[in-house]
Amino acid sequence: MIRRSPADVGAQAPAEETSTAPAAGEVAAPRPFGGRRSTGAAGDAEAHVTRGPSASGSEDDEAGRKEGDNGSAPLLLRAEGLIKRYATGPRRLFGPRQYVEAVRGISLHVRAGETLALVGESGCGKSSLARLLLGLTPPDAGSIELLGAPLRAGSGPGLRRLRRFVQPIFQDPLAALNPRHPVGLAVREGLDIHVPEMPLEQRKARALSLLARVGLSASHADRLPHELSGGQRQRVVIARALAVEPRLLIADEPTSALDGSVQAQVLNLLAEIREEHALGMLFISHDLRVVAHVADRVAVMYLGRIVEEGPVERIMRAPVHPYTRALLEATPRGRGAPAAFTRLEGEPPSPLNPPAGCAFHPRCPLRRSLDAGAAATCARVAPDVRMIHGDPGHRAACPPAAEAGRLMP
Amino acid sequence: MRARPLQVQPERSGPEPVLEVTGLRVEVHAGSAGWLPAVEDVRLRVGRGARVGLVGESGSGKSLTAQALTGLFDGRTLRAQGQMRLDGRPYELARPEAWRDVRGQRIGLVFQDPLAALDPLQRIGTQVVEALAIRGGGSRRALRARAIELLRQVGIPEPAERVDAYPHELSGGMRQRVCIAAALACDPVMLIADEPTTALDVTVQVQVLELLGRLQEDRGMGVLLISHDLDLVSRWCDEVHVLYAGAQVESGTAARVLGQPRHPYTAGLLASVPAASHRGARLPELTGGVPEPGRLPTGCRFHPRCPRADDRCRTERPGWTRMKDGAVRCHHPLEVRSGMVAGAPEEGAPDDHRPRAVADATAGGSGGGPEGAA
Amino acid sequence: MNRLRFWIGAAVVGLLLVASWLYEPLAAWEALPACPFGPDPTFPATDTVCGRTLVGLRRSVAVGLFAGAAAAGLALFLSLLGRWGGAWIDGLIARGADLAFALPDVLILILIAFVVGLLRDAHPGFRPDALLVIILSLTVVGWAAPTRMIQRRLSTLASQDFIVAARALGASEPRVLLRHLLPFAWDYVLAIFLLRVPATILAESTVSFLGFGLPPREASLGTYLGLNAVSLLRSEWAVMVPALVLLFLLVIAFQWLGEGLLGRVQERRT
Repeated sequence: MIRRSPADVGAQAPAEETSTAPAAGEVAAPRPFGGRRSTGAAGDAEAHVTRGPSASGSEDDEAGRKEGDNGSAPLLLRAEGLIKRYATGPRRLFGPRQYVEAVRGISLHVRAGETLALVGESGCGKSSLARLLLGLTPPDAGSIELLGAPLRAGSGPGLRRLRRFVQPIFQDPLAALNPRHPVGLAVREGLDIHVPEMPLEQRKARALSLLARVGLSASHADRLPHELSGGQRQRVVIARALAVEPRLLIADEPTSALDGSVQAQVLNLLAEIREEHALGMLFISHDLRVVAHVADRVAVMYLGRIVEEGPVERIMRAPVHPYTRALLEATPRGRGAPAAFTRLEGEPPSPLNPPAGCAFHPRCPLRRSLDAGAAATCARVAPDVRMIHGDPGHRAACPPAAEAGRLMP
Repeated sequence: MRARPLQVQPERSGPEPVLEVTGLRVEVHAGSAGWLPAVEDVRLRVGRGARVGLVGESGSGKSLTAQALTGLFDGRTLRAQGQMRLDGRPYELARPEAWRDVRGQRIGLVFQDPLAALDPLQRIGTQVVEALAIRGGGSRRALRARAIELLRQVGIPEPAERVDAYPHELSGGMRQRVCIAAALACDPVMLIADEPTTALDVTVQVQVLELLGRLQEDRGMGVLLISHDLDLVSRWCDEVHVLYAGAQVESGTAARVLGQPRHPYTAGLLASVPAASHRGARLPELTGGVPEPGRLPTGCRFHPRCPRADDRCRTERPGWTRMKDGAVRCHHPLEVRSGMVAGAPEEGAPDDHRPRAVADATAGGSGGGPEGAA
Repeated sequence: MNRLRFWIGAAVVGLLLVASWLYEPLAAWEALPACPFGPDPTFPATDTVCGRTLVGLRRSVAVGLFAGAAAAGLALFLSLLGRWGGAWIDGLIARGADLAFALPDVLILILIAFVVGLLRDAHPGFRPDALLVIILSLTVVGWAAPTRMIQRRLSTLASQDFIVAARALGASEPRVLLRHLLPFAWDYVLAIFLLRVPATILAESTVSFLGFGLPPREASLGTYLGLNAVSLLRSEWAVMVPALVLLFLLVIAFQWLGEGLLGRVQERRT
């Protein structure tokens, strides 16, 4: 049974109500903020976590997705068919509005305790996707469920309470912190918002203990963000996120702006936090080295779509989609040239002008080796993501490669 | 990227190197604190057709080194000292005005951000032509033709048409190619590239590095590649210098530095780069951070973070210890385990070419290596 | 450069105001030489040109400051309202401002004066203070441009990551506005206010000149110029000089004050 606050129920359309799979069991909501279960407004909106949808009857198109899916851990996030368009260019007096589609139909899910990495280069839409999944902007199509409750953009009280369960970690920690607030105040903000009834001293103490958890001392609490180093700032951001006891972290290139040695510190910290709190994480990155270390599953994005998805070991060792292959080979990992190096021509495409058919076809090294008919299909038909036979949990949007993949180990 | 024979070791005398730097020292002006030493005693040599890499994190002084070598500084915030031999001729780094023009004609520069390096209001063709015109004469038309040819060489498709494009009409990778074209305009003997691919997508990085490699071989240029990415530098360069807090701590062939790092910092840095072989395990961390110019530790700059530090390290700055394949500046350089072959792929982790030696070298070092973590 | 302008502007305004306040007591004590421009044409018995001009300066400044503050304050209020209410209301306010911006100020001011006059004639008890009327009218014509500017500023500020983070934490829109957005908008609003003042002073001077602003008994510089415009025909134009010079100085000084501050605000941004 899914319990929602009255505000949510009133605002929902009936169709949404039925699409969320009713659970066979129910997992109790986390105790908020380590104290007694809060009553009143804050307590009503506890979103309950549903069991995985494999327990329910699945539609045909669900079956493919759920194959190989570890259905035991609770499902934190489920997104289906997300599409996001942005208006582009000046508004013309006549004629249709011009749009660029940043996200062109993405479905994914994250379970508690697992890390899903989203990998892609510029223009692939990963930042737009992050904004959608944080509930900051509404999708033009598709649905998002957070802990079983629909997540929509907006600022109603129910949505705000729900939103705390998914917290962002940004690429630039300096921009992510209010430059005029001491970091202790920044960390406390979540508590100030959600448990204002907690005495101030207690909130301050909690903020200090969170800072200590991420490796900063009490003396840091009074400093302003610009007085700290990049690594320290990122720790503050993590502490701030932890204050509201999220279930899911969305980390958008959290270490890209940090140096190597500091990167390791922050990654280790994130790993510890994830373990301790059984958090799920959506880790967005362009760096496959980091992804290889951090992620359980990887989804590779290209121009607003997922082109390959699967367990990280499979993707790293036996990528199917030619783009994934090229990414792996392009990532510098140690001395020496990789065995079969295929250099991609051209640049990552711009979403303003997506190629027809499979978005990757103009740069695809595999296409050159296909016969004329198949090659023409690549340019005409956008391929669906399909399971790869014999490879549970691994799917790719390249029928020619998937075919060939079946024959190779 | 390509298979090349290992470059000659830096100490061997051969044909006159294109660039030779000794005693490079850079000071920054920090307001009330006065002049603070930021980079001390850097030595580099770039031979013809050589690929030399300068690696360091932020605060390592690599950008300051680049500024000193290119003479792109005024005397107010930056002061440099040292000797530089460019194409055989000696110059004083302290007085860049004396050799700036010469440098402009012998060294090409490529920077990290092509958007900042290019004038957004000028067509790319014009900017390349301007770079060509420095070298001297030719009619406008001849210069334009040479510009188009340069654009073709750097891989811009349809150069005759793109020559009139503005920078914002091009993608990041294309813009960087234009910058490379401008750098090549003076037919330099040497190229200094400061983080040339950091702002680019990974698949484009590959293209640009390949381009640089090809151009370098065709023209016999020396290239000094400055980057924070140790993996990238070790992949592309033959020779690597590691900078830490303004001090050069290790030099050698890329294979050796990557495979058998002798300086604890290099080893720690290598070990802290995530890779598939470390999946799920804790990355060995280097605790603390890089010290700032005004707060440099006494003795060896790395000692506060080095698990092998002793009293000597705290008081005495280490000198160079020469080895077969380079040099290291450490009182207690790491031992090389016998029987280890650098560059051999590790069993069970075919996608990571780093040998266990790296992990072992840090065992008992910075917080325990990923033993048994493969 | 910006600092210089700011301080020069402030200094000039300060000097003018001090002169204005000091003139009457000093003149009463006969501590000053006689006004070189002679007695005031409209009230020759009681005032001199210098006296009337300097007092008029004070009125011009007062109108400028109050009306400028009111306009900036209204603009801030509307911008915050728009941000809080969401994209639709924000857009509505923006379109309204654009529309209001397109209407000519002086015409509206004259219209308002006309309507007030009609009301006064119809209801003898209705005798609003002229100063109040002019300040309110100037606010009515002055809110549009500042509103658009502040809206744009808030919009830029709102795209920063820490605002996104606050929303993600679950902060309500008012909280985001007041705690995270407004503190960074104050200096900008202040600069906008200071820039409104010269425009307001000029607008008031214009309508007063035409006779629709402050009345002769409570003359501002503009009124004064209007009353004595005919002197130009009689080649007794000397009486106009002090008022013109003071008006000119006033406007320039406030302009520099505002530009200097705005420049500093933008410098700090980068």
